[in-house]
Amino acid sequence: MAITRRQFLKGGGLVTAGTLFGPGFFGHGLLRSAQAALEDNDRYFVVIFLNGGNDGLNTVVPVDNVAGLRAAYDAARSSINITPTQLANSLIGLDPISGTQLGIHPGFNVPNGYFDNGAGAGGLKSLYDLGKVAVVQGCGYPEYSLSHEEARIIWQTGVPLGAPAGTGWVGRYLAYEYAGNEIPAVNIDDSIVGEFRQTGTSVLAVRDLENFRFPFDDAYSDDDAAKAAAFAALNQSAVSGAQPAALFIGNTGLATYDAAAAFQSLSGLYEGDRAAQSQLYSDVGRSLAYDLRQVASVIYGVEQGVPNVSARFFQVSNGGYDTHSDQGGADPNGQHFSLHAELGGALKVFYDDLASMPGNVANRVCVLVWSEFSRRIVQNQNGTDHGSQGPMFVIGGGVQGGVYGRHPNIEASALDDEGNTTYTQDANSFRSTDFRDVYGTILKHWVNLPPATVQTLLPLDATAEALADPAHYWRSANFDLGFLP
Amino acid sequence: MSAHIAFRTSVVALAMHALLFRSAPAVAAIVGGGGSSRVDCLAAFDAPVNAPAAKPRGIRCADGDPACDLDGTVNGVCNFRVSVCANSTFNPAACALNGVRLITVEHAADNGDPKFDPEFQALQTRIDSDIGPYPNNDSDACTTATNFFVAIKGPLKNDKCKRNKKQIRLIAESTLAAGQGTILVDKDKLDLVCDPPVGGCDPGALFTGTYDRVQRQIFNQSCAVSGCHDSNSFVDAGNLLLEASAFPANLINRTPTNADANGLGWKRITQVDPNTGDPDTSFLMHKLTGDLPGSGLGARMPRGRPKLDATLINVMKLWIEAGAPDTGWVSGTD
Repeated sequence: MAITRRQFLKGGGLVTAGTLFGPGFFGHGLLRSAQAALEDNDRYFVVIFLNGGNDGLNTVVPVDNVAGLRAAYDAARSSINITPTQLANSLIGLDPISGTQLGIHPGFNVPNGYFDNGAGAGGLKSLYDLGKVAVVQGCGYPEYSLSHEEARIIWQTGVPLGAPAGTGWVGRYLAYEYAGNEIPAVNIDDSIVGEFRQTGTSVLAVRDLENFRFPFDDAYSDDDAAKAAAFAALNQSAVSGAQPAALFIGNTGLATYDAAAAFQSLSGLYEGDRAAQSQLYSDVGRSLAYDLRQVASVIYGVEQGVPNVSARFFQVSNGGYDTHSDQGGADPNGQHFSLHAELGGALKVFYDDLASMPGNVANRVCVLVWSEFSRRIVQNQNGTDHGSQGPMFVIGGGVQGGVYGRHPNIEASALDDEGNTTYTQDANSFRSTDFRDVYGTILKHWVNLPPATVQTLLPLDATAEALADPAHYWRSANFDLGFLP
Repeated sequence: MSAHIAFRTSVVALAMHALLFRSAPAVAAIVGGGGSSRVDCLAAFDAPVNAPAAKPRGIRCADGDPACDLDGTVNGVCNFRVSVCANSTFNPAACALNGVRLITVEHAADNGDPKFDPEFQALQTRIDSDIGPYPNNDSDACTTATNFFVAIKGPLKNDKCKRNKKQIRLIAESTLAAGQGTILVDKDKLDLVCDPPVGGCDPGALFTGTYDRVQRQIFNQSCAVSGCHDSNSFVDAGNLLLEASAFPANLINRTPTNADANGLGWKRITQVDPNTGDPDTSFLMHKLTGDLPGSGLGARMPRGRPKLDATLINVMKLWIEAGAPDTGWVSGTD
């Protein structure tokens, strides 16, 4: 029965959207258990975090000089510049306002043979040519931070100003949509990442699915069954009462217990059924490929109807983008080339894998790629220092590919005191894309949240400065950026 | 069951191939990096080692020597390239271990570590990308070469300068299987030494202009470092970013965040006109000299470290007096 949780809530007349986040609501055991297992769509969402601050200017590069962008680029990038010739095989669309021809880093068009057996060849560029990649330029936020940690938290919470939010932007959605005894999300990580933090449902953080299991004791394996039964009984006892903390612990405990049994089987199921696809990830041979293979394994398990596996939201990350030193330009031995080859090659294998699963799962998967900041416009001796606005990628069979948003103004005279591009919501030719509009477009068009609810999850800037200066703050949302229908 | 962790180190060097570099004496070679020869193959360096001559295990080069300084020009900096290999077969008779579970470069995290160096971080990224994901059981799993730049010390008074050294330190851990139930640890070091150029240390030859000297010899070496005035930390350091790519907008006639300096009417650097500045009302100058009347102006810089050499303080003074130009030579600073 395809009833959504939201429909259930509405029909029951118990709450309105505005009160959904109160702890009392989530503490209501009867309601929580009644919400279990109500799914309302068959889509997946994957977040990829490029850790360290990806250099946006060498990721989406101006190729010609119709609006002066190329000349400014060449002035700023004296030794790590990428020439128009080097960009010839990775051209994308035009910058929407200036008409400047743009190219993505040549590492995104991985040469056949860069990875073993030609895996991932063509990389992100081949997906772009299929119309499956949206390049969203100039993404940022007001009063930007150049600290890795601060900036990462801002992107994860979706709250740049004032006190940090305790929850992540995906997490707030999950808490809105799912109950405590479900596991709607998996992070391929040691702990739950910032954008998935919330207090309403369960998120599984696991490094290695194959070895994910209830923590039995190798030295005393003969009493595994007794330990498992005790753990289950403990949690059952907790959920039978009405004490909110006990309910939360019990629900998450049961979810974890069920998951430990179910998720461990996913790797074997995938390897058994999809050995050829699995090999391609191994041929790419980089950590991001291995992590995306784990995501593919879970998705395949959901598609195959494995009991107690219903995750639809995923997060993986890849480090190394803090290229102060040894960044390199277009040279295939360069560090930035290597990172982009890894991202593009892994995504190509992942996309092809999903597209060849029964039911063309690629059409039901949306991937969002972000980094905590871009890098300084003017390079240093051998690399680039921390910067401000940069591009994001949205990839998937349902994505309307192309170039969205405007290239930041990189003229020396337009840079701020630290030498970085500036954020503006003014309707000028270099208007920035607020990253919350990207998030909101996904929430509205991919998981089909009503716009008013999206706005509740992604509150507008509301400090005194923001109210007084709407041209330089996020005071007016646009959840229809266009990259999703 | 807990794993035993053994710490062992050794020295072995063996020339393997001579492809990367133009001429002798630098010859690309695999060097174990020190420690017990039994574990020395877990991680090794692939680098054009040439020193000491009898048994090379490091690189030593005079700035501008085309035989070993990759930029081949006298510019105050030696450029070296170094790769790291896991499960090396350079000395199979002594060490045939195969299986690395982690290689860590020391001082590779920008977390306030005073010895942090972005080049160590870049090497760690290379290792993570080219040797990881772990475990790695492939023989001779090597990274692409990573650039290292070692700046000479100086020039200071009478244009004197000294050699400078950067030491790469690695810790490689074996898998349990490779260590037969034990995690073996191989600790390696590689010294990169840059000697002053043969012709001496004339600043006019080493730098392109006074600002270049200020940036590279003062800001880069003493200020824009981890936990201080670099991108990751400057917000907590008077909101003053001193990396090269931030100059000049954040310095010239900018109001300091320090309230007392602001109250005195000082700027970070006071420029009267493009050819004239005023060191006496430039907060940066006061911070270097330590002439800071009243506690409200904060500590002398570099904080907690010796006062900047008098020659360099004078370079700064002359540069500010000349209006802190971003190109050209100010008299007395070259």
